[in-house]
Formats: sequence, C-alpha cells, structure tokens
Amino acid sequence: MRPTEPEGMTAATKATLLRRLDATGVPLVLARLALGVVFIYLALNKLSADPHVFAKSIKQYSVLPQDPPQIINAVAIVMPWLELVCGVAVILGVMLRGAGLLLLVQLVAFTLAIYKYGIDLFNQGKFAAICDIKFDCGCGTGEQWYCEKLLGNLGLIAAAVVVARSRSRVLCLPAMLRRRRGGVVAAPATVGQELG
Amino acid sequence: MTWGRWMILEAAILLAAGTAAGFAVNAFRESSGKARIELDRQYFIRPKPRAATNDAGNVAAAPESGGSSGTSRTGTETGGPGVDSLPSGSAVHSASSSLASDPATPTGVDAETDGVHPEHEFTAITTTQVAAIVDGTDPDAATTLLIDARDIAPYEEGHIPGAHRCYFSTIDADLAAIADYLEAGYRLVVYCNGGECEDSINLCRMLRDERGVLEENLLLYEGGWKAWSAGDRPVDKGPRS
Repeated sequence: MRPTEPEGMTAATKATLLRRLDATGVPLVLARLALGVVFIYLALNKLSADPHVFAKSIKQYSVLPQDPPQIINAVAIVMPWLELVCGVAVILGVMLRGAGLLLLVQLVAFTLAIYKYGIDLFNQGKFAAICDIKFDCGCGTGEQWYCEKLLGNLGLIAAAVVVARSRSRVLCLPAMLRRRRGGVVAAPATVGQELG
Repeated sequence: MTWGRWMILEAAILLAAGTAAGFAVNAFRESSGKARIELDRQYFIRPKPRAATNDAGNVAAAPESGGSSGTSRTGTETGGPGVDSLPSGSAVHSASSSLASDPATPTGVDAETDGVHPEHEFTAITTTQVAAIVDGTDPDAATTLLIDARDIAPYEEGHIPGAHRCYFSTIDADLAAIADYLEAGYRLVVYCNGGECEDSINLCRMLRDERGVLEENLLLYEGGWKAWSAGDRPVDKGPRS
C-alpha cells in the first residue's frame, strides 16, 4: 500500500520551487525590464516638464503637509531623479536590493495615495462606478483610468519585490564584468541564509 | 554583512545619489532659463482662517487668525503698497465696487457654468460681468485687469481679450509685467480653466498674501475659460501683444 500523498505542497517544497525559479534568472530579468523601462520613462517625462506642475500634482493628493513648504518642494525636486537613478540601477543590475527596496517604498506610497484620491473623488458622487474615474495622477503618463492605474501599480509592486529579494544575478553588469575579468561571481549573501 | 543591511546600505547610496542629482540640477535650472523650484517658497497658499459669527451676531476671530480677518486687511497691514503710496491719478478700489453693489449682477456661482468649484474666500463674478468688463460697459472696466492663471500653452491657444498671463511657476516674471497695475490698485479679475481648477484661487491668495493686494480688489471668475469659451464670445490667441 502506497503512503498517503500530502494534499498540498509543504512550505519547504514551495520555497525550493521558488528558489529554483529564481535561479533561472527569468523572473528577475523580466521584473528589472518592467520596472526599469517604466521608471526611466516616467522620470524623463517629469524631468522634461515644469517641476512646479509636478509639485502641484503632489499637493493634489493631500498626503504630504503643505507646511513647511520645503516638504512638497523637496519631494518634487528629488523624486524624478530618484526614479531615474533607480530605473537605471535595475536595468544595469547594479545595487538591485537597494533599488528594489526604494522602488517598492515609492510604489506603495504612490498606490496608497492614488487609492485614497480615487475613493475621495468617488465619495463626492461625481462618478457612477469607481472604475469610471479617469484622472491625471501626475505620474508622467497623462490621464489614466483609475482601476487600470491601480492594477498596473500592483504589478509593479510585485516586480519590485522580486528585484529586492532575488539572489539571481543574471545579466547584471557587475557580475558580467567580474566574469569577463575571470573572477568568480560571488553569491550576494551566505548560502542557505534566509531571504530578507 | 547580512542581506537586509546590504539592502539598506544600497538604498541609502541610491537615495543620496538621487537627492544630490535633484538639487544640483534644480540649482542649475535658473541659469539655463528654466523654472526652478525655490525650496522655501510656499507655492500653494491655503485660505486664511475666517472670522466666524456667533449666535449673538458678534464677529469672533478664528483662533489661528491672530485677530485679523481676511476681509479687513489692508495693503499696509501686509507690508504691501498702501493707499498713500499710490501714484496720483490712479484708481483705487476700496471694495468690489459696481459689480458687488449692483443688484442686477449678483455675485456668486455662475449659473452658466456647471461643475463644483473649490471653496474660496473671494468675491465671485459671472460670465456676464466679465463680458461687461471686456466690452467696456462696466463702469470700472478701465481700472480692471483680467488675469489668466493658466500655463502658457493653454493661454496662447486662447484667452479672454486683454487678459495678462500669470502662472504660479513663473509668477515673479509675470507679476513684474503688471507691477504698475498692482501698485495703482487696479481691480483684478482672476480666472483659470474653471470647474475644479484651483490655480486662480491660489493666485488670488498669492497676490493678497505676498503682494499686499486688497482682498476686495480680487475677483474670482469661477466659470473661467470653460464658461467663457462655451459661448460666442471674443477670444484672443497667441502671446499678449
């Protein structure tokens, strides 16, 4: 008589499968491409426009305090450049953990702010359904549908988690340079150490 | 070093790089002729707390107002040009004059426009009243200045005839062009897109709080460009000649 099969995968099996998938490098490369292209595009759009207009977009969410003015002004000055730096870092595969963390923090903050703004608009009774809301989020993409924007952001959040936690270094510039010099590519953390 | 510490260290390096790049480029913007964000400047002025009337009919100052309500302010109080400093022969409006006092032209939300307007503390005027200023039939038309608070692109696509452009990001240069009118105490009619647009309200607050323009000389055309352009009314295009 055969032993009883477990109904579902154990946590250990799942973790092993995730590690194997991560080791292929495919999830990381896809996540880097998505995040890098989107953030570089959005950053360049913002940088080519009047920075005051971006400051106005930040203010419209009513998330940051208007007093002192240095808060909104500093965020308007720094954020497009931070997006650009992080976008370039994930494309090149440089400082992936830090870039992933920063992008994750930004995305979570943007998504919560957009969610709150959409709920506020809907509560004003101007729209029949919440997904009917279309507005310029100030992200650098012009007017967008509210629900599409939220779903897109959730996808990017998932990509940022992959970038921040992946141990693969496939197609990463530092690893490629080390390989070219004939060196050994070191694992980014101790083998067997839990992620995070 | 553990994975988590590496992550925080890398994030700090990237954050420092982004911050340095942002401030460096912002500092350079002015020399390259582009608008620069001034870190200490308040670009979005909030309404001043208003005096509230209590049950007994007495006017009580709001706690944060420091004892002065918005409507009682004068140019002297705000450090702006007082009446005494005006050039001789200039027209000074001590109230919203003919428009506010004319029962045939009530102030308030323009019946010709739709949409919810953001709350504000200024006297609102209608499209009919603005039309009277433009065609000169308003008795104070000669001492009234129209100000378009929109950005340069929409302004040049079309604006109310005679309107000067004054956008919040280029406000210093734009206000320099109308400094004589401000000093002469002209009545200012400010508009933007209409509807939910807040640029006109923000500009009114900037003019009052930073330039010392009397609140009663600031009129807000709530309907704005949407209401004006909806009818068969004269329109100027391109930059102001």
